[in-house]
Parts: sequence; C-alpha cells; structure tokens
Amino acid sequence: MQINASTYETIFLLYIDNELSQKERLEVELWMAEHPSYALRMEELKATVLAPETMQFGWKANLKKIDADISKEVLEEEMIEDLETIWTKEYTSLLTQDMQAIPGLSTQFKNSLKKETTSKVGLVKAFGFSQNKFTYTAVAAMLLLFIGYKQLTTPTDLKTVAAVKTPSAQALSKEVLVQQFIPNQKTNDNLKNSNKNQSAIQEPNANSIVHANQDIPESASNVVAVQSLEKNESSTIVSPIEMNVTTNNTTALSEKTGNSLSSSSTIALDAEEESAPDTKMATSYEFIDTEDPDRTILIANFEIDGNRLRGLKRKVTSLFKNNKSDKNK
Amino acid sequence: MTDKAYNDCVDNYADGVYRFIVKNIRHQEDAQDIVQSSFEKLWVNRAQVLPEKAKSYLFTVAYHQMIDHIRKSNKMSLVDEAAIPHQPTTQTHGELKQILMRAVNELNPTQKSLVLLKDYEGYSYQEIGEIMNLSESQVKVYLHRARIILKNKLSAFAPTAS
Repeated sequence: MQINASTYETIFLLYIDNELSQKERLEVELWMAEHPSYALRMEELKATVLAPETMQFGWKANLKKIDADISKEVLEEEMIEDLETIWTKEYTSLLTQDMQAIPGLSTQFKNSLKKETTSKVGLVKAFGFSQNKFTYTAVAAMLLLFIGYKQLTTPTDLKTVAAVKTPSAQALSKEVLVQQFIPNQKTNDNLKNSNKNQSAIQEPNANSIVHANQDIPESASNVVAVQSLEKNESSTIVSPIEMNVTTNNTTALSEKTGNSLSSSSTIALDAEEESAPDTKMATSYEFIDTEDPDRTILIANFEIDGNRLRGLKRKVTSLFKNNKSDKNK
Repeated sequence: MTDKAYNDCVDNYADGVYRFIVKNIRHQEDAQDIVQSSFEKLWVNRAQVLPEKAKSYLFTVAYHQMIDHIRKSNKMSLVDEAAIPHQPTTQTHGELKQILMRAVNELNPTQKSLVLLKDYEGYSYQEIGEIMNLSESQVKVYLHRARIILKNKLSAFAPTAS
C-alpha cells in the first residue's frame, strides 16, 4: 500500500471505515506521523462518522412469540383432561334429562339459528316481476328462440332454378342456374312489354324461344313458373324477368296450342338434350302468389312470420306494461 | 431457527433495525410498522434462516421494505427531526452532532443507508452490499462520496456552529 498525496484520501476513508488490516492501519499511522499536515484532514474525515446512538423499540413484547415448549398438542391434551374432570358422567346424564324434558327445544333452537335465505320468489319480487309474468316472459323468449332456430335450420323455399335459353348461341349451350325472387312490379311491366312486342311465330330454330303469350291469361303474370335445369358445366345467370316470360310462354304454348311451332321448339330442346348426353335434366315448378297479403316474407335465408311476430310483440309489451303498473302500485 | 432464537433476535436486533429505519424515513409509526413486518417475515421464514444470519436477514428485509415505503410515499422530509425522541448519548459535541445529522439527512437514500449501516451497525462493505444489493466496490465508492459530501458540509457549518 503506497500512501501519497493522490491516494491518501481513499486510504484514510478505508481507515475510518475499519476496512484496513492491522498492518495497513499501522502503515497509515506511521505515514501520518511522518506527514503531520495530513492529520487535520484525517480528523475532518473522522468527524463524518456518526457517533453510537441508542434507540429503544417499544413494541418488542408484541414481536415475541409464545414459548415453543408448550406446543398446540400439549395444550389440547391438557384441555381435554380438564374437560374430562369437569364434565363428569353425572353432569352429562343431567343434561340429557333436561334436553328430553323439553322435546321441542332442540328443533326450535336450530330454527332460531337459521338465517333467512333469499328465495327465487324474493329475487323475482326484488326485480319487480311477479312469478307468473316471469314465467310468461321466459316462455315467450323460448318460443322466439325456437322459431328463430327453426327458420335457420329449415331449407329455404327459394327453388327458383331455371333454365333459360336466350337467342344468343353461346348462352344456349350453358347451364343456367338462378336462385332469386321476382319482384311484382317488374314482372308485370316486363310481361306487358313482352305483350306489346309479341312475335306470334318465330322460326322453328333449335336455339330460339317462342314468345306467344296471346293465350296466356292476365292473371298468369302473378304466377311465376320456374324451370330448373341442372348440368355439369358452368352456369350463366340470366335476368329473372326474361326467364319468367319465356318459360311461361313456352309452357302455355305447349299446353294450349299444341301447334307445329311449339312442337318444333320442343323438338329443338330435345335435340339439344341429345347433343349433350352427360347432362341431367330435372325440372320443377313452384307457384308463388306475389299479391297475397299474408304471404311469407323472405329475407335472405331467414324467414319471419309477420303475424307470429306481431303476436309475440304484443304479449311482451303487455307483460312489461303490467309489470310497470305493478311497480307503481 | 428455533422460537427461542427468534425471541433472542427480537431482544438483540429490534432496536438496531428500528434505529436504522427511523433515521432513514424519520417517521416513527411507519418505522414501527416496517420493523414489525420485518420480524413477521423472519418468523414466517424462521425455518430457512440461520441464527447467525438473522441480523443480516432482518436488515435486508427492513431495507427493502423501507425502499418500498419511500417509493410509495415521499415522507422523507415531512417530519421534523425534533419530533423524534433521542436517547441521551455519549456525544460531547452536541451541536456538531446535530449539524452532522442534518448533513446526513440531506444525503440521498442510498448514501444515507450506507452511512447508517456502516456507522451504527458496523457492517463491512461486503455485508452492506448483501443487504442493499450492491457490489463491494459500489459500496466503497458510494460511501466515500457520502463521506466527502459530509466533510464538505461540516466544514461549511463548523464556523457558524462553533
């Protein structure tokens, strides 16, 4: 350890902190004796050391724990022994006699100990519901859920699959698969237009569709005949209005007139079928009365019965009204 | 550690821990709480703590709780020094001691704890490092800086005090 003007302070600090060995301490003391000017600096550093100070903590008794000599088990044993001496057999028999003398006491005593528990009825009352109304509401909710579930799970009535043959040669060779509804107004308008532009006879071309709706009654505009044609090839979607008209006319023509034109068109279709032997044809028709006020409203795949919904709504609102009046009472 | 050894720890170290904490935070009630919780922790963990390490363990727990307390509430300078009762000491230079305590209180919490642990408890640098989670060299440097600060403050106060 070399003590000089640059290292003395660090060594002095170690000295006052008692971090030097006995030999090192002697070295420091010798150096200080040789350099008395540094003694004052040593004194200044020594002055920074805090003097011993006593301070009492007044809660020692609280911190102390019970002597471990007396363990819990020993205490329990002692208590049992004491009880045995006090609670003699005679005293026990006397107590049982007393208990038997008042038979209703034990039950009454037990009942007195019981706490009141909140019943379901109480809970319902607390929320301002009577039990019956609560049941009705629950039933209504269940009914709603059931209807919703049924509507979701049952297959939709959208079976408007049609095969349409347009004058164009390209569309004829392709499968047509359409699933949608026909609006009333548009159907009627389109039919009227088709009446105006009717062409009674067209060339009995295999690729043509004959428009001859003079035999079709006016009420037929509300009836949509849908023809479905399933093929393996890719599909082309054609406007439903056009589709309806053509299908109606074709059927009407084939049923009522039965002339050569209709037969020729039928032949043309048959010829087409023959040309594509792999394709499967399945035709189905469905009549939808679009002017029926009580018709089922279809929104996408979800069906809502208007009358049922109204009835349920009425029931629920009446329940809530009654409930409110009960609360006011 | 047996229950008896624990009770001995209460007798021997409760005062020291209390002094260390109360000098740091300068709030008697909080210091008592910290001491109590430190001994509670010692009691809970008495099976794992050796009797010879009990003092160090107590100071470590108390120090960390004190740091938490300081972080939670800045009560470092809320209570006047005069509010803390002092026992009569052997210090002859009363005024100088007051000046020194004032200077110590102006140190940062780490430096203050270092000085208190070194001077009151006489811990070595290594032991202080274990208690305060510092290395030995860190303890040495921080403590020396604290001493120099105290020396400068004392030299500034000394003429007025005398």
